[in-house]
Amino acid sequence: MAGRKAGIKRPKQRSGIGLWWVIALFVLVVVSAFALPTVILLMLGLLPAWVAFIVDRGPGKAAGKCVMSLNVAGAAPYLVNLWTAGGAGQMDNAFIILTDPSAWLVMYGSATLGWLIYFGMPYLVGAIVEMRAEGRKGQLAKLRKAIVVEWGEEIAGVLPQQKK
Amino acid sequence: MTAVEKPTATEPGAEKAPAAPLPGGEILLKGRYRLLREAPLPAYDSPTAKAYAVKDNLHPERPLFAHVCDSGLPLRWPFLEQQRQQNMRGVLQLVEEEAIEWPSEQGMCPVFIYMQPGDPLCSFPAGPMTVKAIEATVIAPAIEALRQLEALDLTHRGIRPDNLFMAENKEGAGVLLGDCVSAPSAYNQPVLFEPIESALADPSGRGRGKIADDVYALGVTVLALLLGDLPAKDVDKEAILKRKILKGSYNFLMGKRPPTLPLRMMEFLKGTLHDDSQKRWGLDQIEDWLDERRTHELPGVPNIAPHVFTFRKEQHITGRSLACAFLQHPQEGAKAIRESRFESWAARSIASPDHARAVAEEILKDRAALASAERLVARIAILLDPEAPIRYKDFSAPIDGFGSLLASRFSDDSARRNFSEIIRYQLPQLWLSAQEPGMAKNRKILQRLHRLQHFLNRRGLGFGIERCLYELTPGLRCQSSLVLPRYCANISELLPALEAAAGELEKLVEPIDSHIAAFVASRFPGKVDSFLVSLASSAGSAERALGVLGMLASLQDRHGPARLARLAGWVWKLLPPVIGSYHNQALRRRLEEEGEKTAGQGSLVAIYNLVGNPSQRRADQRAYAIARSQFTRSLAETAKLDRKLKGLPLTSLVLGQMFAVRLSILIALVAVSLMISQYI
Repeated sequence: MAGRKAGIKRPKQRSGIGLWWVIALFVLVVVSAFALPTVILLMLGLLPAWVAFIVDRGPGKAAGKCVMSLNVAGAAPYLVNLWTAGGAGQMDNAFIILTDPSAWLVMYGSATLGWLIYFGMPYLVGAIVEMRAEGRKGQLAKLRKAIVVEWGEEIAGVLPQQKK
Repeated sequence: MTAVEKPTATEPGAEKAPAAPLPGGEILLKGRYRLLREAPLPAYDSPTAKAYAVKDNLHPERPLFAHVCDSGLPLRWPFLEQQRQQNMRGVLQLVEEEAIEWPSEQGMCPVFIYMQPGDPLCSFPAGPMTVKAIEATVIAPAIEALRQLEALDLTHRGIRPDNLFMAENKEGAGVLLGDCVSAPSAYNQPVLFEPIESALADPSGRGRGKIADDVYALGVTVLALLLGDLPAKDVDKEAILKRKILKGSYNFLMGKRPPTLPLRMMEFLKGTLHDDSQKRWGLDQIEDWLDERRTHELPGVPNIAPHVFTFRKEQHITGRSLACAFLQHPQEGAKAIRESRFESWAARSIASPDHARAVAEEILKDRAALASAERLVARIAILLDPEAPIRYKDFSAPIDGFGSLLASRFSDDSARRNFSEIIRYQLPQLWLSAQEPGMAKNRKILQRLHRLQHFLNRRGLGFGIERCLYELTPGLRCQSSLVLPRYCANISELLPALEAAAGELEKLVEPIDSHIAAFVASRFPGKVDSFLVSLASSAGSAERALGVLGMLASLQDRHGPARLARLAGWVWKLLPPVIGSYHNQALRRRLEEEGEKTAGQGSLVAIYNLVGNPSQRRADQRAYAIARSQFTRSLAETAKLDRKLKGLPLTSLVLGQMFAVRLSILIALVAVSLMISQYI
């Protein structure tokens, strides 16, 4: 049974991802046909998020998620601005946004903040966990010391003998 | 204190004053009686007690003498206990008693002060006494004394011419029965004066016996007085016994003597010298005889078997003589028993069908599992002669004589081994089954034997053969080397003796050894079983030290004295393991401090309450278990934390990334929400 299972050839994951890329490109092309300025803005404004998703090989793609969420938050005002312009002026508006350095600063700055959180948070969490563990260990050592003072060294023996 | 003399006449506290040596070789007893060592009274000597004159400081005119019992033999405790309560007419009148320092192997020895009874009746050779004088001054008073003893369930077992004294009283002259307490029952009786069954036993193990045994001794005494000399005085004791067995006591003692004795006395002798104790005259019959109501008696003759059994070229016509021969030569005896001719002889010649059947069963059992020659011979001898004592190797005693025989020969390894084997092989049970059925006391005896077996099978202090010794011998002084040469016959005398010994002994030993533990276990009225269990622990353990302390504290609680400073100090030195067995350090320190003070006060009870309090020990154990559990849990938790810290880089990475994602999404949501709120 196990041998039979082992003999089953699994489809290569790479081909699945390739398929997703094809679908995404197809969707992009279709959406571009209707909302090209938005697609351009998203493609360029969310570039750090796309990069983060690509370079993050971790199981949960945490880096991608961190950068994406903040990058989207940074790009959101400009998207809204673009959509509120409406009609044929959208492309012009997109051009104005993309040529505005402050827009780049906001969008890419928020992505940077995402990276900072991604890299900084493990250190912060580690420090907190370590501090709490060391504190507890100290408490336990004190308790053991008090027990030894009250009951003698024998209680600390590996196999304390039952006294008669 | 006795019925003769009350302590009211003594000064207060004088009774407890120890015997003190006085100048001039005198010893002061009870603060009042002066034992004059320079004034021996050989006329009152007993083979096991020398007699000395005694002066009463309060009543110098009283004629007193003392028996100094320095033989080391066990005393006749039941008789003594009765005499302490009330003196009996017709026997020596006990005035006072005490243990004194005496130059003997035994160290301290008991001394009994008696009223002087008058002159000894006679010393042989002497002229024959007249029948009338014998009746009036010997038989009648002796029967009166025996009647009184019988009412008190006692026997004298010391009736012989040199132990009778002529006393004058209001009713006229009459004999007084002499010493019978300085040695085990009938120990001092020559074989001549003892019935065959009793003479077959070791002198120190003849047992309490029956009044019929005293009647027999009286019969021989009367014969000696009639003749003016001892009958068969040139015959050695083995020959006397052998001839009594072969001919019967009466026939042997009368011998080929011409019938010069009056017919009336012949009747008396036939009645009192009958070898069957059931057919021997009792006190009623002797009183009838004294009242001239005559009965015709036939002399007792041995039960002759219808067939002869030849053993070692000797023809045996009685089961008794054959049993004796087998016991003298056990290897050849066993060989003969295993021959078919013995089986057929037993089937045809043993009078009792039950005994014949039992012999056949014993032979069958032996064929199935070969027993030692001595064991087989002992069992067959019991069935051939059920009235004889239990005889195994050189141990020969009836059941009630086991204690005194064991006590007399306790230092002898073979005697101790033989006793153990007798109990282990259940010879007494066989002996009891061979007796007449329906003896009500047999059940009690069987229970006692069962207890002895139990004691022998258990190891540890307070059990073993020492326990059997003290259980079987009431009043036996404690034989422990820790208290010897002091005299401890009563349990209340033990602690003072140990207190005195505490100053002398190297305090490296425990104040309880096998003898003391057995002595206490058999004499102490309270329960000491739990302490005996503790004493079975290994030496130096806390449990054992607590057992020692608990047992001694129980004694002090019951019998005092209240202050035993040296003994308490001795016991305190054994207690470090007990204090060490407490887990709580503060409690240990408190116990050490308070215990030192309490030991100084000499109260074993207080020390026991302090360090041996069971509830305190249990509480300490419980709290220790809880603390140990806490400690173990704490160690486990610390180890877990260490493991957690060891894997912290990975943990913090995973957790950090998770928190980073959540924080990022949260910030993004907040920012988008704020932006949307501006548009709305």
